[in-house]
Amino acid sequence: MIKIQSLRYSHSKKTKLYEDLSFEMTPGSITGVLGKNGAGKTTLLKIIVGMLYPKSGKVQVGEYIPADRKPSFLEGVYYLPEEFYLPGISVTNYIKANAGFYPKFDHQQMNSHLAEFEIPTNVKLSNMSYGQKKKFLIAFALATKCDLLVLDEPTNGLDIPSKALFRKLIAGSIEENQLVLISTHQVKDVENLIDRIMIIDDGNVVMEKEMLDISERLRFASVKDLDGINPLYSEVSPGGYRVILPEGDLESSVDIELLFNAITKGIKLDGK
Amino acid sequence: MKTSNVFSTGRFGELIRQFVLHNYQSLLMGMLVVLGLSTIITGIFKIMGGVSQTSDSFHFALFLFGYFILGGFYISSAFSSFRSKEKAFGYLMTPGSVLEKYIVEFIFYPLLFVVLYPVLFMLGYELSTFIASVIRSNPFQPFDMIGFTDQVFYLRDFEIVEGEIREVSSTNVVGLGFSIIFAIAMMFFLGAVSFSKYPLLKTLFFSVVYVGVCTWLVYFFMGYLEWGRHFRLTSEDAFFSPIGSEGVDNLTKVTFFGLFLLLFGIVFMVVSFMKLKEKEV
Repeated sequence: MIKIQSLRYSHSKKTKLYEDLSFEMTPGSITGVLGKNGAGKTTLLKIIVGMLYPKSGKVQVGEYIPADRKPSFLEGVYYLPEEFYLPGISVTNYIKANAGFYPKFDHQQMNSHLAEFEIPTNVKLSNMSYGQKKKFLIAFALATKCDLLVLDEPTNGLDIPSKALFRKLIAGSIEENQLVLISTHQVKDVENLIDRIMIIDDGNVVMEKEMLDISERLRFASVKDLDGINPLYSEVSPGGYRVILPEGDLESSVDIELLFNAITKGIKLDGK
Repeated sequence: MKTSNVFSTGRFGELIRQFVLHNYQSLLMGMLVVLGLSTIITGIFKIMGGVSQTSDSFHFALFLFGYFILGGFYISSAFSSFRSKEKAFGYLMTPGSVLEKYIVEFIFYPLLFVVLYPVLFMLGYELSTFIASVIRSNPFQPFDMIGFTDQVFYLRDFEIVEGEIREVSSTNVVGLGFSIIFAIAMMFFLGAVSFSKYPLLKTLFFSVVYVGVCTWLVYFFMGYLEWGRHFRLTSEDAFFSPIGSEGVDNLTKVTFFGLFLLLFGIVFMVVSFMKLKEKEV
Protein backbone atom coordinates (compact mmCIF):
# COMPACT_ATOMS: atom_id res chain seq x y z
CA MET A 1 0.00 0.00 0.00
CA ILE A 2 2.79 2.43 0.91
CA LYS A 3 5.91 2.31 -1.18
CA ILE A 4 8.75 4.72 -0.53
CA GLN A 5 11.92 4.57 -2.58
CA SER A 6 15.06 6.65 -2.09
CA LEU A 7 13.19 9.45 -0.35
CA ARG A 8 15.19 12.60 0.19
CA TYR A 9 13.81 15.39 2.34
CA SER A 10 15.22 18.29 4.30
CA HIS A 11 13.65 21.21 6.13
CA SER A 12 16.54 23.47 5.13
CA LYS A 13 19.55 23.25 2.84
CA LYS A 14 21.93 22.70 5.74
CA THR A 15 20.17 19.89 7.60
CA LYS A 16 19.16 16.73 5.82
CA LEU A 17 16.44 14.65 7.40
CA TYR A 18 16.09 11.79 4.96
CA GLU A 19 18.75 11.04 2.39
CA ASP A 20 17.82 7.64 1.04
CA LEU A 21 14.79 6.29 2.84
CA SER A 22 13.06 3.25 1.41
CA PHE A 23 10.39 0.94 2.79
CA GLU A 24 7.10 -0.71 1.95
CA MET A 25 3.98 -1.31 4.00
CA THR A 26 1.03 -3.52 3.27
CA PRO A 27 -2.57 -3.08 4.46
CA GLY A 28 -4.08 -5.02 7.32
CA SER A 29 -1.87 -3.84 10.13
CA ILE A 30 -1.58 -1.28 12.89
CA THR A 31 1.95 0.00 12.64
CA GLY A 32 3.68 2.00 15.33
CA VAL A 33 6.13 4.55 13.94
CA LEU A 34 8.68 5.25 16.63
CA GLY A 35 11.68 7.51 16.77
CA LYS A 36 13.49 9.97 18.99
CA ASN A 37 12.46 13.62 19.10
CA GLY A 38 13.37 15.25 15.81
CA ALA A 39 13.83 11.91 14.05
CA GLY A 40 11.30 12.99 11.46
CA LYS A 41 8.28 10.84 12.32
CA THR A 42 5.76 13.62 11.78
CA THR A 43 7.54 14.76 8.63
CA LEU A 44 7.39 11.23 7.26
CA LEU A 45 3.67 11.00 8.03
CA LYS A 46 3.08 14.36 6.34
CA ILE A 47 4.94 13.17 3.24
CA ILE A 48 2.85 9.99 3.20
CA VAL A 49 -0.42 11.95 3.30
CA GLY A 50 0.80 14.57 0.80
CA MET A 51 1.08 17.55 3.13
CA LEU A 52 4.78 17.90 2.34
CA TYR A 53 6.50 17.33 -0.96
CA PRO A 54 9.63 15.15 -1.06
CA LYS A 55 12.76 16.74 -2.52
CA SER A 56 13.35 13.59 -4.55
CA GLY A 57 12.51 9.90 -4.53
CA LYS A 58 9.27 8.07 -5.05
CA VAL A 59 6.35 8.03 -2.64
CA GLN A 60 3.33 5.99 -3.57
CA VAL A 61 0.22 5.22 -1.55
CA GLY A 62 -1.92 2.65 -3.32
CA GLU A 63 -2.08 3.84 -6.90
CA TYR A 64 -1.57 7.48 -5.96
CA ILE A 65 1.29 9.91 -5.55
CA PRO A 66 0.27 11.72 -2.34
CA ALA A 67 1.76 15.07 -3.38
CA ASP A 68 -0.83 15.27 -6.19
CA ARG A 69 -3.54 15.48 -3.50
CA LYS A 70 -6.13 14.01 -5.81
CA PRO A 71 -9.59 13.97 -4.21
CA SER A 72 -9.91 10.23 -4.83
CA PHE A 73 -6.69 9.77 -2.80
CA LEU A 74 -7.80 12.12 -0.03
CA GLU A 75 -11.14 10.28 0.26
CA GLY A 76 -9.21 7.20 1.34
CA VAL A 77 -6.82 8.85 3.79
CA TYR A 78 -7.49 10.38 7.18
CA TYR A 79 -4.72 12.22 9.00
CA LEU A 80 -5.13 13.18 12.63
CA PRO A 81 -2.30 15.60 13.47
CA GLU A 82 -0.97 16.17 16.96
CA GLU A 83 -2.14 19.78 16.89
CA PHE A 84 -5.49 20.29 15.21
CA TYR A 85 -8.24 22.84 14.76
CA LEU A 86 -11.96 22.34 15.20
CA PRO A 87 -14.48 25.02 14.25
CA GLY A 88 -16.91 26.52 16.75
CA ILE A 89 -19.85 24.38 15.67
CA SER A 90 -21.71 21.48 17.25
CA VAL A 91 -20.69 17.84 16.90
CA THR A 92 -23.79 17.18 14.79
CA ASN A 93 -23.03 20.02 12.39
CA TYR A 94 -19.39 18.96 12.08
CA ILE A 95 -20.45 15.47 11.09
CA LYS A 96 -23.00 16.90 8.64
CA ALA A 97 -20.35 19.15 7.13
CA ASN A 98 -17.54 16.61 6.82
CA ALA A 99 -18.87 13.06 6.67
CA GLY A 100 -20.03 13.45 3.07
CA PHE A 101 -16.44 13.62 1.83
CA TYR A 102 -15.77 10.03 2.87
CA PRO A 103 -17.72 7.51 0.79
CA LYS A 104 -17.46 4.73 3.39
CA PHE A 105 -18.37 6.90 6.38
CA ASP A 106 -20.22 4.83 8.97
CA HIS A 107 -22.69 7.02 10.91
CA GLN A 108 -23.73 4.17 13.17
CA GLN A 109 -20.13 3.55 14.20
CA MET A 110 -19.60 7.27 14.74
CA ASN A 111 -22.56 7.46 17.11
CA SER A 112 -21.49 4.37 18.97
CA HIS A 113 -17.90 5.67 19.39
CA LEU A 114 -19.18 9.05 20.55
CA ALA A 115 -21.29 7.30 23.16
CA GLU A 116 -18.37 5.14 24.30
CA PHE A 117 -16.11 8.18 24.60
CA GLU A 118 -18.96 10.00 26.40
CA ILE A 119 -18.83 12.99 24.04
CA PRO A 120 -21.93 15.19 24.18
CA THR A 121 -23.31 15.93 20.72
CA ASN A 122 -25.03 19.21 21.57
CA VAL A 123 -21.89 21.01 22.76
CA LYS A 124 -19.81 23.25 20.53
CA LEU A 125 -16.51 21.66 19.58
CA SER A 126 -14.63 24.81 20.49
CA ASN A 127 -15.97 24.59 24.05
CA MET A 128 -14.65 21.07 24.59
CA SER A 129 -11.43 20.19 26.38
CA TYR A 130 -8.38 19.14 24.35
CA GLY A 131 -8.93 15.51 25.38
CA GLN A 132 -12.59 15.57 24.34
CA LYS A 133 -11.72 17.12 20.99
CA LYS A 134 -9.10 14.46 20.43
CA LYS A 135 -11.55 11.68 21.29
CA PHE A 136 -14.06 13.21 18.90
CA LEU A 137 -11.52 13.26 16.09
CA ILE A 138 -10.44 9.69 16.83
CA ALA A 139 -14.08 8.60 16.61
CA PHE A 140 -14.47 10.54 13.36
CA ALA A 141 -11.27 9.07 11.92
CA LEU A 142 -12.40 5.52 12.65
CA ALA A 143 -15.88 6.16 11.22
CA THR A 144 -14.43 7.37 7.89
CA LYS A 145 -13.29 3.77 7.24
CA CYS A 146 -10.44 5.20 5.21
CA ASP A 147 -7.94 2.71 3.80
CA LEU A 148 -5.12 4.64 5.44
CA LEU A 149 -5.45 6.16 8.90
CA VAL A 150 -2.52 8.22 10.08
CA LEU A 151 -2.59 9.17 13.74
CA ASP A 152 0.12 11.44 15.11
CA GLU A 153 0.44 11.17 18.90
CA PRO A 154 -3.21 10.08 19.25
CA THR A 155 -3.04 9.38 22.98
CA ASN A 156 -1.64 12.79 23.96
CA GLY A 157 -4.17 14.51 26.18
CA LEU A 158 -6.27 11.41 26.80
CA ASP A 159 -6.98 10.32 30.36
CA ILE A 160 -6.17 6.74 31.46
CA PRO A 161 -9.64 5.22 30.81
CA SER A 162 -9.76 6.95 27.42
CA LYS A 163 -6.39 5.51 26.46
CA ALA A 164 -7.69 2.01 27.18
CA LEU A 165 -10.86 2.78 25.25
CA PHE A 166 -8.80 4.13 22.36
CA ARG A 167 -6.92 0.83 22.14
CA LYS A 168 -10.16 -1.12 22.33
CA LEU A 169 -11.89 0.92 19.63
CA ILE A 170 -8.96 0.87 17.24
CA ALA A 171 -8.48 -2.88 17.65
CA GLY A 172 -12.20 -3.49 17.19
CA SER A 173 -12.78 -1.19 14.21
CA ILE A 174 -9.92 -1.87 11.87
CA GLU A 175 -10.62 -4.01 8.85
CA GLU A 176 -8.36 -6.15 6.69
CA ASN A 177 -8.01 -3.57 3.93
CA GLN A 178 -6.99 -0.77 6.29
CA LEU A 179 -3.56 0.36 7.34
CA VAL A 180 -3.16 2.38 10.52
CA LEU A 181 0.03 4.32 11.18
CA ILE A 182 0.46 5.53 14.73
CA SER A 183 3.32 7.80 15.60
CA THR A 184 3.86 8.19 19.32
CA HIS A 185 6.35 8.89 22.06
CA GLN A 186 4.18 7.12 24.56
CA VAL A 187 5.04 3.58 23.61
CA LYS A 188 3.23 2.06 26.58
CA ASP A 189 -0.05 3.42 25.19
CA VAL A 190 0.22 1.37 22.03
CA GLU A 191 2.12 -1.64 23.35
CA ASN A 192 -0.74 -4.08 23.12
CA LEU A 193 -2.28 -2.42 20.08
CA ILE A 194 0.26 -2.36 17.29
CA ASP A 195 1.07 -5.50 15.34
CA ARG A 196 3.99 -4.01 13.45
CA ILE A 197 6.75 -1.66 14.50
CA MET A 198 8.90 0.74 12.52
CA ILE A 199 11.75 2.54 14.21
CA ILE A 200 13.30 5.56 12.54
CA ASP A 201 16.72 6.78 13.57
CA ASP A 202 19.16 9.11 11.90
CA GLY A 203 17.10 9.36 8.73
CA ASN A 204 16.79 5.62 8.24
CA VAL A 205 14.37 2.85 9.08
CA VAL A 206 16.46 0.88 11.53
CA MET A 207 13.78 -1.71 12.27
CA GLU A 208 10.56 -2.73 10.62
CA LYS A 209 9.07 -5.95 11.91
CA GLU A 210 5.92 -7.77 12.91
CA MET A 211 5.46 -7.81 16.67
CA LEU A 212 4.77 -11.53 16.47
CA ASP A 213 8.06 -12.05 14.71
CA ILE A 214 9.91 -10.09 17.41
CA SER A 215 8.23 -11.96 20.22
CA GLU A 216 9.15 -15.26 18.58
CA ARG A 217 12.80 -14.31 18.15
CA LEU A 218 13.47 -12.36 21.33
CA ARG A 219 12.50 -12.69 24.94
CA PHE A 220 11.85 -9.69 27.17
CA ALA A 221 12.20 -10.25 30.88
CA SER A 222 12.95 -8.65 34.23
CA VAL A 223 15.76 -10.24 36.26
CA LYS A 224 17.30 -9.53 39.64
CA ASP A 225 20.87 -9.76 38.39
CA LEU A 226 22.75 -10.59 35.24
CA ASP A 227 24.66 -13.57 36.65
CA GLY A 228 24.48 -16.59 34.46
CA ILE A 229 22.64 -14.92 31.60
CA ASN A 230 24.00 -13.31 28.51
CA PRO A 231 21.48 -10.66 27.45
CA LEU A 232 21.57 -8.95 24.08
CA TYR A 233 20.66 -5.74 25.88
CA SER A 234 19.96 -4.75 29.46
CA GLU A 235 18.79 -1.72 31.38
CA VAL A 236 18.79 -1.11 35.10
CA SER A 237 15.29 -1.01 36.53
CA PRO A 238 13.91 -0.77 40.08
CA GLY A 239 14.80 -4.04 41.77
CA GLY A 240 16.99 -5.41 39.00
CA TYR A 241 17.30 -5.33 35.24
CA ARG A 242 15.12 -5.40 32.18
CA VAL A 243 16.73 -7.57 29.59
CA ILE A 244 16.38 -8.69 26.02
CA LEU A 245 17.39 -12.29 25.61
CA PRO A 246 17.89 -14.31 22.48
CA GLU A 247 15.16 -16.72 21.45
CA GLY A 248 14.12 -18.91 24.32
CA ASP A 249 11.56 -21.55 25.06
CA LEU A 250 9.05 -19.05 26.38
CA GLU A 251 7.33 -16.50 24.19
CA SER A 252 7.06 -13.11 25.90
CA SER A 253 5.25 -9.91 25.18
CA VAL A 254 7.40 -7.25 23.55
CA ASP A 255 8.70 -4.46 25.77
CA ILE A 256 8.65 -1.76 23.12
CA GLU A 257 10.47 0.80 25.23
CA LEU A 258 13.34 -1.59 25.86
CA LEU A 259 13.41 -2.66 22.23
CA PHE A 260 13.41 0.98 21.10
CA ASN A 261 16.27 1.89 23.43
CA ALA A 262 18.33 -1.07 22.27
CA ILE A 263 17.77 -0.37 18.59
CA THR A 264 18.48 3.37 18.81
CA LYS A 265 21.69 2.61 20.73
CA GLY A 266 22.83 0.56 17.79
CA ILE A 267 22.50 -2.86 19.45
CA LYS A 268 22.22 -5.62 16.84
CA LEU A 269 19.44 -7.85 18.07
CA ASP A 270 18.99 -10.24 15.23
CA GLY A 271 19.59 -8.39 12.03
CA LYS A 272 17.16 -5.82 10.74
CA MET B 1 -18.64 5.22 -11.01
CA LYS B 2 -15.36 7.06 -10.94
CA THR B 3 -15.64 10.79 -10.36
CA SER B 4 -13.31 13.35 -11.88
CA ASN B 5 -10.30 14.44 -9.88
CA VAL B 6 -10.51 17.94 -11.35
CA PHE B 7 -14.13 18.88 -10.76
CA SER B 8 -17.12 17.01 -9.44
CA THR B 9 -20.42 18.74 -8.74
CA GLY B 10 -21.14 16.40 -5.84
CA ARG B 11 -17.85 17.15 -4.13
CA PHE B 12 -18.15 20.84 -4.90
CA GLY B 13 -21.57 20.81 -3.25
CA GLU B 14 -20.05 19.14 -0.19
CA LEU B 15 -17.34 21.83 -0.03
CA ILE B 16 -19.96 24.57 -0.24
CA ARG B 17 -21.97 22.87 2.49
CA GLN B 18 -18.86 22.49 4.64
CA PHE B 19 -17.98 26.16 4.23
CA VAL B 20 -21.49 27.30 5.11
CA LEU B 21 -21.81 25.00 8.12
CA HIS B 22 -18.38 25.99 9.43
CA ASN B 23 -18.81 29.72 8.81
CA TYR B 24 -22.51 30.62 8.78
CA GLN B 25 -22.29 32.46 12.09
CA SER B 26 -19.42 34.69 10.91
CA LEU B 27 -21.15 35.27 7.56
CA LEU B 28 -24.39 36.37 9.17
CA MET B 29 -22.53 38.51 11.66
CA GLY B 30 -20.52 40.14 8.85
CA MET B 31 -23.69 40.95 6.90
CA LEU B 32 -25.29 42.49 9.96
CA VAL B 33 -22.17 44.57 10.64
CA VAL B 34 -22.07 45.93 7.06
CA LEU B 35 -25.80 46.67 7.11
CA GLY B 36 -25.54 48.30 10.54
CA LEU B 37 -22.48 50.38 9.64
CA SER B 38 -24.07 51.54 6.37
CA THR B 39 -27.25 52.54 8.19
CA ILE B 40 -25.45 54.31 11.04
CA ILE B 41 -22.83 56.15 8.94
CA THR B 42 -25.20 57.32 6.20
CA GLY B 43 -27.76 58.11 8.91
CA ILE B 44 -25.29 60.30 10.84
CA PHE B 45 -24.50 62.34 7.72
CA LYS B 46 -28.19 62.72 6.87
CA ILE B 47 -29.16 63.81 10.38
CA MET B 48 -26.14 66.12 10.73
CA GLY B 49 -26.90 67.63 7.30
CA GLY B 50 -30.50 68.15 8.26
CA VAL B 51 -31.77 66.26 5.23
CA SER B 52 -33.33 62.88 4.55
CA GLN B 53 -31.14 62.32 1.49
CA THR B 54 -27.51 63.17 0.88
CA SER B 55 -26.25 64.12 -2.54
CA ASP B 56 -25.55 61.34 -5.03
CA SER B 57 -21.85 62.14 -5.29
CA PHE B 58 -21.33 62.18 -1.50
CA HIS B 59 -23.26 58.93 -1.13
CA PHE B 60 -21.23 57.39 -3.96
CA ALA B 61 -17.91 58.48 -2.40
CA LEU B 62 -18.99 56.97 0.91
CA PHE B 63 -20.01 53.79 -0.87
CA LEU B 64 -16.67 53.53 -2.70
CA PHE B 65 -14.71 54.23 0.47
CA GLY B 66 -16.46 51.37 2.24
CA TYR B 67 -16.22 49.17 -0.84
CA PHE B 68 -12.44 49.34 -0.97
CA ILE B 69 -11.67 49.50 2.75
CA LEU B 70 -14.05 46.75 3.87
CA GLY B 71 -13.37 44.81 0.67
CA GLY B 72 -9.64 44.91 1.37
CA PHE B 73 -10.18 43.62 4.90
CA TYR B 74 -12.71 40.96 3.94
CA ILE B 75 -11.03 39.57 0.82
CA SER B 76 -7.68 39.51 2.65
CA SER B 77 -9.28 37.12 5.12
CA ALA B 78 -9.87 34.52 2.38
CA PHE B 79 -7.96 31.24 2.69
CA SER B 80 -8.17 31.74 6.45
CA SER B 81 -7.01 28.13 6.89
CA PHE B 82 -3.50 29.18 5.95
CA ARG B 83 -3.30 31.60 8.91
CA SER B 84 -2.56 28.64 11.19
CA LYS B 85 -0.86 25.30 10.69
CA GLU B 86 -3.64 23.43 12.51
CA LYS B 87 -6.34 24.81 10.22
CA ALA B 88 -4.23 24.20 7.14
CA PHE B 89 -4.02 20.44 7.87
CA GLY B 90 -7.79 20.14 7.87
CA TYR B 91 -8.17 22.28 4.77
CA LEU B 92 -5.57 20.54 2.65
CA MET B 93 -6.69 17.06 3.75
CA THR B 94 -10.33 17.74 2.86
CA PRO B 95 -11.13 15.59 -0.15
CA GLY B 96 -11.59 18.19 -2.84
CA SER B 97 -9.58 19.27 -5.87
CA VAL B 98 -7.55 22.48 -5.88
CA LEU B 99 -9.95 23.90 -8.45
CA GLU B 100 -13.01 23.14 -6.31
CA LYS B 101 -11.41 24.62 -3.18
CA TYR B 102 -10.31 27.67 -5.14
CA ILE B 103 -13.80 28.28 -6.54
CA VAL B 104 -15.35 27.94 -3.07
CA GLU B 105 -13.00 30.60 -1.69
CA PHE B 106 -13.63 32.76 -4.76
CA ILE B 107 -17.40 32.54 -4.30
CA PHE B 108 -17.39 33.26 -0.57
CA TYR B 109 -14.83 36.05 -0.58
CA PRO B 110 -14.37 38.31 -3.65
CA LEU B 111 -17.60 37.39 -5.41
CA LEU B 112 -19.79 37.48 -2.31
CA PHE B 113 -18.37 40.81 -1.22
CA VAL B 114 -18.47 42.46 -4.64
CA VAL B 115 -22.11 41.47 -5.11
CA LEU B 116 -23.44 41.68 -1.56
CA TYR B 117 -21.81 44.88 -0.35
CA PRO B 118 -23.70 47.19 -2.78
CA VAL B 119 -26.97 45.45 -1.83
CA LEU B 120 -26.33 45.83 1.90
CA PHE B 121 -25.14 49.40 1.49
CA MET B 122 -28.28 50.30 -0.44
CA LEU B 123 -30.44 48.63 2.19
CA GLY B 124 -28.62 50.54 4.92
CA TYR B 125 -28.93 53.75 2.95
CA GLU B 126 -32.67 53.30 2.47
CA LEU B 127 -33.11 52.32 6.10
CA SER B 128 -31.29 55.46 7.28
CA THR B 129 -33.39 57.57 4.86
CA PHE B 130 -36.49 56.04 6.39
CA ILE B 131 -35.26 56.72 9.94
CA ALA B 132 -34.26 60.31 9.06
CA SER B 133 -37.61 60.95 7.39
CA VAL B 134 -39.45 59.64 10.47
CA ILE B 135 -37.35 61.83 12.79
CA ARG B 136 -37.89 64.91 10.61
CA SER B 137 -41.49 64.02 9.75
CA ASN B 138 -40.60 64.27 6.07
CA PRO B 139 -42.11 61.98 3.45
CA PHE B 140 -39.88 59.01 2.62
CA GLN B 141 -37.95 59.56 -0.62
CA PRO B 142 -36.58 56.36 -2.09
CA PHE B 143 -33.19 56.46 -3.77
CA ASP B 144 -33.33 57.24 -7.48
CA MET B 145 -31.41 54.22 -8.76
CA ILE B 146 -32.20 54.75 -12.45
CA GLY B 147 -31.08 58.39 -12.41
CA PHE B 148 -28.01 57.51 -10.40
CA THR B 149 -26.86 54.65 -12.63
CA ASP B 150 -27.42 56.80 -15.71
CA GLN B 151 -25.11 59.38 -14.13
CA VAL B 152 -22.39 56.99 -12.97
CA PHE B 153 -22.36 54.37 -15.72
CA TYR B 154 -21.64 56.82 -18.55
CA LEU B 155 -18.67 59.05 -19.25
CA ARG B 156 -20.01 62.07 -21.10
CA ASP B 157 -18.35 64.85 -23.06
CA PHE B 158 -20.14 68.12 -23.54
CA GLU B 159 -19.53 71.21 -25.61
CA ILE B 160 -21.15 74.58 -25.72
CA VAL B 161 -22.70 75.32 -29.09
CA GLU B 162 -24.37 78.69 -29.55
CA GLY B 163 -24.68 79.14 -25.79
CA GLU B 164 -26.24 75.69 -25.32
CA ILE B 165 -24.59 72.72 -23.59
CA ARG B 166 -24.73 69.70 -25.86
CA GLU B 167 -23.68 66.13 -25.18
CA VAL B 168 -21.20 65.08 -27.86
CA SER B 169 -20.31 61.60 -26.64
CA SER B 170 -21.49 59.10 -24.08
CA THR B 171 -19.34 56.08 -23.22
CA ASN B 172 -20.49 53.20 -21.05
CA VAL B 173 -17.92 52.67 -18.27
CA VAL B 174 -19.52 49.64 -16.60
CA GLY B 175 -16.84 47.40 -18.14
CA LEU B 176 -14.05 49.64 -16.86
CA GLY B 177 -15.64 49.71 -13.41
CA PHE B 178 -15.90 45.93 -13.41
CA SER B 179 -12.23 45.63 -14.42
CA ILE B 180 -11.11 47.99 -11.64
CA ILE B 181 -13.10 46.11 -9.01
CA PHE B 182 -12.03 42.72 -10.37
CA ALA B 183 -8.33 43.66 -10.48
CA ILE B 184 -8.33 45.07 -6.94
CA ALA B 185 -10.35 42.16 -5.54
CA MET B 186 -8.01 39.65 -7.17
CA MET B 187 -5.00 41.53 -5.82
CA PHE B 188 -6.28 41.08 -2.25
CA PHE B 189 -7.24 37.48 -3.05
CA LEU B 190 -3.69 36.76 -4.21
CA GLY B 191 -2.36 38.41 -1.05
CA ALA B 192 -4.66 36.24 1.06
CA VAL B 193 -3.32 32.99 -0.40
CA SER B 194 0.31 34.14 -0.48
CA PHE B 195 0.82 35.62 2.98
CA SER B 196 -0.03 33.73 6.13
CA LYS B 197 0.63 36.70 8.45
CA TYR B 198 -0.69 40.27 7.93
CA PRO B 199 -2.01 39.62 4.41
CA LEU B 200 -3.71 43.02 4.08
CA LEU B 201 -0.65 45.09 4.97
CA LYS B 202 1.69 42.95 2.91
CA THR B 203 -0.67 43.06 -0.08
CA LEU B 204 -0.84 46.84 0.10
CA PHE B 205 2.93 47.14 0.40
CA PHE B 206 3.69 44.77 -2.46
CA SER B 207 0.98 46.26 -4.68
CA VAL B 208 2.49 49.73 -4.23
CA VAL B 209 5.90 48.34 -5.19
CA TYR B 210 4.41 46.34 -8.09
CA VAL B 211 2.34 49.19 -9.51
CA GLY B 212 5.32 51.52 -9.08
CA VAL B 213 7.61 49.19 -11.02
CA CYS B 214 4.99 48.65 -13.75
CA THR B 215 4.36 52.39 -14.06
CA TRP B 216 8.06 53.11 -14.30
CA LEU B 217 8.47 50.40 -16.95
CA VAL B 218 5.56 51.77 -18.98
CA TYR B 219 6.95 55.29 -18.65
CA PHE B 220 10.45 54.06 -19.61
CA PHE B 221 9.30 52.32 -22.79
CA MET B 222 6.43 54.55 -23.84
CA GLY B 223 7.80 57.90 -22.69
CA TYR B 224 11.57 57.80 -22.39
CA LEU B 225 12.19 55.52 -25.38
CA GLU B 226 9.26 57.19 -27.15
CA TRP B 227 7.55 53.92 -28.14
CA GLY B 228 4.28 55.67 -27.35
CA ARG B 229 4.45 57.54 -30.64
CA HIS B 230 3.69 54.30 -32.48
CA PHE B 231 0.42 54.11 -30.56
CA ARG B 232 -0.34 57.82 -30.96
CA LEU B 233 -0.06 58.24 -27.21
CA THR B 234 1.79 61.50 -26.88
CA SER B 235 0.78 62.63 -23.41
CA GLU B 236 2.88 61.07 -20.62
CA ASP B 237 -0.14 61.18 -18.32
CA ALA B 238 -1.95 58.82 -20.63
CA PHE B 239 0.39 56.00 -19.61
CA PHE B 240 -0.76 56.20 -16.00
CA SER B 241 -4.48 56.78 -16.01
CA PRO B 242 -7.42 57.30 -18.31
CA ILE B 243 -7.95 60.70 -16.67
CA GLY B 244 -4.77 62.02 -18.24
CA SER B 245 -5.60 60.80 -21.72
CA GLU B 246 -6.47 64.19 -23.10
CA GLY B 247 -7.18 64.11 -26.79
CA VAL B 248 -7.85 60.38 -26.93
CA ASP B 249 -11.51 59.57 -27.46
CA ASN B 250 -13.37 58.16 -24.46
CA LEU B 251 -14.22 54.79 -25.96
CA THR B 252 -10.56 54.06 -26.81
CA LYS B 253 -9.20 54.97 -23.41
CA VAL B 254 -12.00 53.23 -21.50
CA THR B 255 -11.52 50.07 -23.58
CA PHE B 256 -7.73 50.24 -23.28
CA PHE B 257 -7.69 50.66 -19.51
CA GLY B 258 -10.58 48.25 -19.04
CA LEU B 259 -8.71 45.49 -20.85
CA PHE B 260 -5.44 46.45 -19.15
CA LEU B 261 -6.96 46.05 -15.68
CA LEU B 262 -8.90 42.95 -16.66
CA LEU B 263 -5.60 41.39 -17.67
CA PHE B 264 -4.12 42.35 -14.29
CA GLY B 265 -7.07 40.69 -12.56
CA ILE B 266 -6.73 37.52 -14.62
CA VAL B 267 -3.00 37.32 -13.91
CA PHE B 268 -3.64 37.74 -10.15
CA MET B 269 -6.36 35.09 -10.36
CA VAL B 270 -4.15 32.54 -12.10
CA VAL B 271 -1.20 33.21 -9.79
CA SER B 272 -3.39 32.79 -6.70
CA PHE B 273 -4.59 29.43 -8.07
CA MET B 274 -0.99 28.31 -8.62
CA LYS B 275 -0.11 29.47 -5.09
CA LEU B 276 -2.91 27.36 -3.64
CA LYS B 277 -1.65 24.35 -5.56
CA GLU B 278 1.86 24.53 -4.14
CA LYS B 279 0.89 24.96 -0.47
CA GLU B 280 2.64 22.71 2.06
CA VAL B 281 2.15 22.39 5.81
